[in-house]
Amino acid sequence: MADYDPLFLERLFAFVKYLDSFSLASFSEIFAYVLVAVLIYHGYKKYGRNRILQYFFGALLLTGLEENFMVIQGYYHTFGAATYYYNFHAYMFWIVAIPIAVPCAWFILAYSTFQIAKMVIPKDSNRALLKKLLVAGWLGTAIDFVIDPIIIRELGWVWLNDQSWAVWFLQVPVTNFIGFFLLIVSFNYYYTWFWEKYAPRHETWSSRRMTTMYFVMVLLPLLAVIGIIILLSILFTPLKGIDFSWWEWPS
Amino acid sequence: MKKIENNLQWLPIICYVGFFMLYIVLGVLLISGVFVPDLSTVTDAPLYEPLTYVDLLILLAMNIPTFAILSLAVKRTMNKQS
Repeated sequence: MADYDPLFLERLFAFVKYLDSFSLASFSEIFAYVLVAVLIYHGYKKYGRNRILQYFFGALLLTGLEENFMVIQGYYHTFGAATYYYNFHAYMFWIVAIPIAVPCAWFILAYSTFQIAKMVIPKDSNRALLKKLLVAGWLGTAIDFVIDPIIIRELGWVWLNDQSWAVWFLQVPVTNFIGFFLLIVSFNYYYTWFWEKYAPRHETWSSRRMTTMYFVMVLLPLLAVIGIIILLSILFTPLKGIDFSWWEWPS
Repeated sequence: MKKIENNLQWLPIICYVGFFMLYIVLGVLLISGVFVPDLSTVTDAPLYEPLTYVDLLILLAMNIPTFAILSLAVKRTMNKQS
């Protein structure tokens, strides 16, 4: 069965894991960085420098912590099983156990999907916000129906769970897709709630205090997402071992 | 630069579609055999059933609602622009 990189712990904090990760295949990683720059430019023009940087770094913090947690706790079998890891040879630059391109990709998805949702649902109300979040969540999750089956075959990342340890869709744990949806919905909801509801109630705070509170409280959606994923993993126990796909299970 | 500023509202759609297209292109490169993953980079690499063009079409078909949402976003943005 597939296993973690033999130098997983030794190279855990290396910014560059292996030099052979610099190859033609790095084009996709560079393309992701370009898309990040374009979207930051969009946010800068539409919302101003502070807002877009808060969004970008908030998304990076939330997804960077979440992904690192999922990979590292899987290495130690904290919840009884391995999870997944990113191929150390497939990406150029890293932040602990995950490629920097991964939280950047999360930012691309979280920001672009919510902007698209705003184009589709231009109204401003609590009900409209819920619809926007659901649309953004769908857009972000559905793209992974295409991404995951391709990337696991390209060995961009490796799912390590045994078939009996999870419920599968397209040979990917179902909790992965649920996590995709929850991360996009929770972060966009958190960002909107913080700057439209919470911040106006604390107008006397300095901008430094407000920004610090924003980055501290981003742990709230993080804990919520991780908690829900763990709970669902337990609830899905009767369905474990089932793979909803048409492919033979990998040997 | 001025052209980009005048068309700022399109950037999220362009980036989302660009991100999507990146993986479709990677999928086509994988299916056609142009990109061959190096199995030695992963300990006991899992041997998945190879992807086919039909598989890719099925995966894209799962995204029909996505394409509908994108079409609506494009239509509303064009209406707003005009």
